[in-house]
Amino acid sequence: MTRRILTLPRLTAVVAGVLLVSATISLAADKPVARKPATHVAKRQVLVVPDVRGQVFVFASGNLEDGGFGWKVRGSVHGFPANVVASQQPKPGTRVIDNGAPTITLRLSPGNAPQLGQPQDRSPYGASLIRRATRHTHSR
Amino acid sequence: MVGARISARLGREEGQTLIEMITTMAMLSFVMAAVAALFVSGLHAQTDMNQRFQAQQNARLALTSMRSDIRNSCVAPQVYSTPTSSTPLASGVYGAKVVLASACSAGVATSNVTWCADSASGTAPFGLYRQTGTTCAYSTGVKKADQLKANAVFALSTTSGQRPMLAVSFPVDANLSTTNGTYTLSDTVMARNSAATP
Repeated sequence: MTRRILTLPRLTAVVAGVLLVSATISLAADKPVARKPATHVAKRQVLVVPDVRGQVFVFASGNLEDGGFGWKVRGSVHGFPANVVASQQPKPGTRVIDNGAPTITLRLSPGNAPQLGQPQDRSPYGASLIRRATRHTHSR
Repeated sequence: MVGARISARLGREEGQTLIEMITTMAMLSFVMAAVAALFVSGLHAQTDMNQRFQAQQNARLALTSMRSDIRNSCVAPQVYSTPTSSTPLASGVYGAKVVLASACSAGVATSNVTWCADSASGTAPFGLYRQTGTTCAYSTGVKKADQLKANAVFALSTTSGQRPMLAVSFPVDANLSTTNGTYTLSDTVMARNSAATP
């Protein structure tokens, strides 16, 4: 009887230990490794606005996206793939600060294909405002 | 009677011998090793599956983007055998670079967009790149997909009186060391914005 009484706290301690270890492992596996915040401040980079005038809209939007820009369509002709870029703002060659995805505003003229379906008048991601670069900003 | 025998057994003071202990530990270590091996192989399988899924998903997204470009090319696409080649391939021959026309004037391309399958080593795995202009390379293009097993992935198909078509075939394999994991994404897209082949 005495032995059984002595065994009980030992058993409880072992079970508690196993539970503690398994809980620790589970928590550690679940938590992502904390990343240290970046301590350096990145230099402002400059993007040069490409010339997409005259290009078919689907190519122009793709080229702007690949170049790190956002875009939006203004005017009566909407963002259907086969439409053609009539004008852009800012003008080609303008140096702008890379503050995310500087927005290029496009005006289109109708292309060869019928204007069917839903037009896409904005880039699929959030675009940022245009900020012109000074001469001292680093070019990319 | 039975109760008394159980209480007598519970009341014994004998422990286990060293031989028993070592035998138990050896058996336990065998079982634990098997469980650990199973766990590790499961982790590897999951990682492999994630990499394959990611590579296939990138290829699908790239093909979606490429379809729009091909359909809206205002001149027939031109396929080249390598990213540096300048001689267009004949209809039906697969190559690593395709040049599309993004702007045209009187039926002549005034600006272009090029897609190519290229890699730094010149061997698989190849990446799929998009670049403005008539040149394209892994170092200058924008990467749209990767883990392609081959670089000859584009072929032009022309028939007199019909608009040109571009056949695309992306053999995606996230793990080139295995032989049975290739996922081939294929499509044939008509260049609807270009003139019919004479």
